[in-house]
Amino acid sequence: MTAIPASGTPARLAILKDAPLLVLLALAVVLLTGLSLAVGPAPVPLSGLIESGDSPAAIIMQELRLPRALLAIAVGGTLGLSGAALQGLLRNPLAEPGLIGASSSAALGAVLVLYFGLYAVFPLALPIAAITGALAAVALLYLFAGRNPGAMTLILAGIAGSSLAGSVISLAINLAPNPHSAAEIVFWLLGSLKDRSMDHFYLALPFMAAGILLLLSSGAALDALTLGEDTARTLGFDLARVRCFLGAGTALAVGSGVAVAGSISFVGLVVPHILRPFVGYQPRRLLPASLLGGMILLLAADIGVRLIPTQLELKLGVLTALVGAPFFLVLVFKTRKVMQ
Amino acid sequence: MILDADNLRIAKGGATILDGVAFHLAEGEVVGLIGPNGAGKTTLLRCLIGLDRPDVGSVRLRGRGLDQWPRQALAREISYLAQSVPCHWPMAVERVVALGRLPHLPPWQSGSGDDIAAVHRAMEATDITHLRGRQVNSLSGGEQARVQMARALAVGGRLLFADEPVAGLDPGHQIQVMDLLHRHANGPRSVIVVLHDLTLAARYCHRLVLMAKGRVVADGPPSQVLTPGHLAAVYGIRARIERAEDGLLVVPAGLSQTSPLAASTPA
Repeated sequence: MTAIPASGTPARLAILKDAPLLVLLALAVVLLTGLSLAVGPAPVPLSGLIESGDSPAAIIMQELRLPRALLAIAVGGTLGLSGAALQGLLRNPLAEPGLIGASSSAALGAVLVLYFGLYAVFPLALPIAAITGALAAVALLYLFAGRNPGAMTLILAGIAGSSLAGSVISLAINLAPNPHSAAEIVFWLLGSLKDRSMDHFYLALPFMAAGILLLLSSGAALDALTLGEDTARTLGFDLARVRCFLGAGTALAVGSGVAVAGSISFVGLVVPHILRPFVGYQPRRLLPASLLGGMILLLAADIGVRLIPTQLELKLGVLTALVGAPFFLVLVFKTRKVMQ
Repeated sequence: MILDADNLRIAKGGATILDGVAFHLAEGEVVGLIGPNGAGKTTLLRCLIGLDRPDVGSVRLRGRGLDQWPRQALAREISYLAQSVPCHWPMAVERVVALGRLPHLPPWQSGSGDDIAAVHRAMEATDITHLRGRQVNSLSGGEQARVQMARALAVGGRLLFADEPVAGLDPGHQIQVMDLLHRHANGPRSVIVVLHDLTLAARYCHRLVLMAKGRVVADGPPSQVLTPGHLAAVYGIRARIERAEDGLLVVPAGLSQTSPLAASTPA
């Protein structure tokens, strides 16, 4: 039993309620970032990060490993956060950027830019096209699934969107001028953080930051939506605006992530599901936790692909799919009982 | 008058749901909306709180049209208890009740002492304090209904709208909820409640509004609205109406001769 605080106790920042959990998650992020920087084919001292000049340690740290770790943090965080936000908006634990078709539509946008060689002329075209693709997928979802989609409608809308995007991507691969560029597209689609530079990170960062802000700012509305749309409206929320914010936020976050890392699926599904019990199942509190959780998962997965001894390095998107798909299967079985 | 609506008309999918309805509410009143299924009670309720927008007519709260109110200010005035509210995530009872304080919270903030006190008062009033840590979906139907009631009370709006709040409750909890609504209406606070149980309506409401086919058939104190003539015309039932010491006792005795339900019942 907690004592009732005296009337007049000032309001606190909502985020303080989960401070211990969030601090713990943040510590894990820091730890894994260090590990991510330390892992590689050659042992390189961490001091390479702050060394200036052309020493091999400085080059490996600053131009290979640092962008890789930073991108894992940025892409993982936005994926975890958009999964939590979409699940809150659609009130469905199966919603995820990949499953609703946002990732593949973003990939389509990015592939088109790469295919037509626009990237070399105008690098910004890459994230913009990917974001536009993701936005189209979210719009398609609203159109198909309506405002209160059941699990089945959601998955069907996602399949429709994904196969549409997939078919055009296949066309691009089919028509690729030479086998080399076809293989390039396929490899890029698998999703990886290997061989990325700080330029990639800086390219995606502003869009991601905007997406994160839009998603985090809708937390209270997600809480209200727990009680259904009517009650949420009587609690003072403009649902058209909320849908707009969350749709745009998801598109910005997922689109810019896909633009620099290819499609990495299931992070947005797994992370919120694992963290939900720790935040009392409350959608708003799930948002910051999932942001950090996504960072942890992707950092860990990216360390994993480097440690698993395969002849060619395992692609990050392949690993998350291998782990995520069975997880999804179990989740479908569990929710099938609850939702019709 | 705290709430005024005139000549409300609304059509959905080609059918006229409300057809020239007027509604007025004074401070401190408990008003019962009664009528057969499909009479337009819920739609009227939704129009009165801005969930549905009438095609014709307007609703004014304290003399100001509903669409002139800022959203959050309006949300602080109106507590709304919908019919069978879903709770999509298995949150703890106390957290669900606290959702009622959302209209009072600045962005990014959790509740102040006032908010927490309001949540505790609402849980006490509905007798769910002992359930505060339980997950909502593990509760019985009656307990869940009381949680939603507490959630609506926590808003602290001066107008409380409840759509069939006693549906599915046992008699003890029906009386508990109606007592609560009755007590809630005092001073500046009023209650509008949709009910099917006519005896409960007669006992707890100061005024009844009887609706049928999108129109108001009768509007007045229970003894004037619940007459054999009205009940036969609107519900198609013969009813025994007895005057008890604590209100009227309305016992449906059978279908009236002229009831459309009687005609459609197979022999």
